[in-house]
Amino acid sequence: MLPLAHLGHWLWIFYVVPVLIVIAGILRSSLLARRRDSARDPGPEEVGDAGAPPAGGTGREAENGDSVTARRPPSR
Amino acid sequence: MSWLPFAHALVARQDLPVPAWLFAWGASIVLIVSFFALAAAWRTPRFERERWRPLGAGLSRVLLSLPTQVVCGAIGVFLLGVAIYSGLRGTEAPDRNFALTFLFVTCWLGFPFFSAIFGDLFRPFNPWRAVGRVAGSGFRLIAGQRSAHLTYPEKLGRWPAAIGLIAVVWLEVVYGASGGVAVGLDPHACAVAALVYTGYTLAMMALFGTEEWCERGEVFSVYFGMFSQLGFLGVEDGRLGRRMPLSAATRWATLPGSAAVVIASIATTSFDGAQEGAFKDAIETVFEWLSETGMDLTTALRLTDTIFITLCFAGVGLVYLLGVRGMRTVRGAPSFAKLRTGFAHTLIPIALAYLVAHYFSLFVFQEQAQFTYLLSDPLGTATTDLFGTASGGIDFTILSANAIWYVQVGALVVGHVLGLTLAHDRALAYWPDYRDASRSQYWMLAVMVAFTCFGLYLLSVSNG
Repeated sequence: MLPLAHLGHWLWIFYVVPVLIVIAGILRSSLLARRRDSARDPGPEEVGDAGAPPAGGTGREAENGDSVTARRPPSR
Repeated sequence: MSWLPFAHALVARQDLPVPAWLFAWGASIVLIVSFFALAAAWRTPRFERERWRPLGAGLSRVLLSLPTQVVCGAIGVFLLGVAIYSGLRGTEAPDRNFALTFLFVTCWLGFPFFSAIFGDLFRPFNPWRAVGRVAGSGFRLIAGQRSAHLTYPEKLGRWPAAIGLIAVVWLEVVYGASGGVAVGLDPHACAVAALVYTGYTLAMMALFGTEEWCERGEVFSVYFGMFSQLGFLGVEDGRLGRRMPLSAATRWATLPGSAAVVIASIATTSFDGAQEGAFKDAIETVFEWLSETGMDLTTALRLTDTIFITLCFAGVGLVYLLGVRGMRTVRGAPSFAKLRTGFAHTLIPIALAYLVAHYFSLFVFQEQAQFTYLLSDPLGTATTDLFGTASGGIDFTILSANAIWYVQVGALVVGHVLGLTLAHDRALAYWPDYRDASRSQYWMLAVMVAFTCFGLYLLSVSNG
């Protein structure tokens, strides 16, 4: 006899799977974005103007505790 | 609504073409596709302004005039009076008494459904507001000045309404149960509760002012008003007008406790759906444990249900806060407090979706009773037939089990897509770069998928 009598108790797993897939996708995307940002970020000694606010940002909205990525002034 | 055998509404088992859990997967795919479509095509906020346009002056004059307000208020007071009288003097059979169906089905479900389309329909019919305004006008006439009120504590916000909302559902779903057999709230207890609530509400209105209390603390004004933010009709400066649907919601959650109101709505609906289904085994385990401590059965059951309704509230709140916390990981994010308040309104379509999914069939079935035998024989004595419809009944065949399921799935999908849209729009207002805004909404997508799957799971288990 197949042990399927209590399968109904475990049906909730099927409802959790999409949530787990989405979360896994988010974590993967965040990791890739972080690697991209750290590869693009030249490091503190090469920054031209560390005090400049981020381009296009309001400045006062950047309160997330992470250091705001400084941008180089446009070269002439 | 546990007192009706068809509360979660099937007359027969479903005969679905695929397992119910595959619908959850399908719904999740719809949400994910919607998310990427929004990210690609929706790059500027559109809901931050209501774009309200007045309707004809004549229509406003008629619908918002003082005589109309007086008539609507009088109707509200009259119907509340009929409900209380029916509860006190009518039959104890819950399904034959006007009070329970009128208060817990017609009003409790009807106002959210229709307010979400047309705007704040409850406000003109609010019986407590009508009495409060009459009392205020009477005071002005006699004293020659407006009555003085206490300043409402700003930090209290809508918390009284959130707690009151949980209390209303607790009364019906938890208090009404007894000794392991859920018989539901009896009409007499419902009428007494309505009287107590009336006294409490009028006292609060006397303390803080009628409009102030209706805006912040009066449970039904706040609860129905929350859903009305989705509607396309609104009143500004005494004129009725059209606005962009959903747009009014962006300004609703500015008061403290607003998030708690919408979370309470989702949590209480979830609990009502889960207590006879997904949570049944867990509730029985805790109930047996409490019974073995010597507690009487009724108290043990009420305490068990109270614990689980609290856990539901905490769980829904936690999922939302995790989504907010996730948004904070994106550069340029505002403060946690600002995000928590700023995205609360995105849960309103989800609360409505849960309401529709869980109670749509109850509403369709029980409204047949409301407008037939309950209308003609409100006391349920079988000796009255006011409108000649006392012999009418409920036709349960108008909705098949499959039709109910498809409406439930459709409601949850549509509600969550609207929630996702509101969240994406708000993110565009907070993050100047649309790419950062889209990235910030990954976590809200997870929240929406979680609520969708949870809702479908509850429905599939309670539907059997």
